[in-house]
Amino acid sequence: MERQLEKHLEETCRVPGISGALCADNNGLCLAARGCKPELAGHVASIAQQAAQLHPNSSTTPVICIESEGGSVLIKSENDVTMAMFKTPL
Amino acid sequence: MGCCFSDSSDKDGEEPYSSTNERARLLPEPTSSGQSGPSYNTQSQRNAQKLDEPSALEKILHKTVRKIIDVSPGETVEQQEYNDRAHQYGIKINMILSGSSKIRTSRPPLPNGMAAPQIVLSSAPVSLADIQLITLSAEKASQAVGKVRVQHKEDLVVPFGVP
Repeated sequence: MERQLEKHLEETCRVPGISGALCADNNGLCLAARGCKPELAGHVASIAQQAAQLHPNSSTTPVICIESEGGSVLIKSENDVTMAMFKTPL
Repeated sequence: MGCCFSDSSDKDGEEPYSSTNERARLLPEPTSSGQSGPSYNTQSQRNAQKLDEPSALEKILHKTVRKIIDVSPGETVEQQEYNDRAHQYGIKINMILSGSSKIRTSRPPLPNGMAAPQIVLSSAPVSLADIQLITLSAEKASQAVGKVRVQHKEDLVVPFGVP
């Protein structure tokens, strides 16, 4: 039943520069993970919820980018599903 | 009085020529002004005889010397001594901060921040391609999660053949 979701994550990880992808629900449950630890689902969902509170009246959810020396993490939530992509510098 | 600068010594009955407050007259009141009562004028005439201009100026000078605070750099501090003093003060502060637990609990546990924020702020922002990539990926993931269905294969509750 989760085949389509896993297929989507596999396609995402095939993009050059993307080392991992993670999908979590709004409670922090890991729905699918590729190339990263499933334990990160809780943190990803929490960060997305906290960032959304910066603009509570906005119609779109914000895109969060956490940059570090080892790469960056892009996080966005859509309809109670939070997606995270782990990018490494090429 | 309701004013915060008033004190008990600022009364009407005090002599106007006393040098204890800022409202004291320095020069004698002209005798032609008949605004006040007659007793007030005679007292002012007596004080006018006592105080002349040089002594009034001297009083002003003494008052200024008494109240002025000299902030000019009297003693110069050498660079090495300055550094030593700064180091000593830093050690004292660290001793107080590490010793007193009461001060430690009042400090909020905030991060120290970065040393050079201008480097981070001047760096390039997130590229539009990345934003579009994550936005598209989040939409597809949301659609994929919406298509998750439970496949019913066998009954969960099975009746046993109990006679």
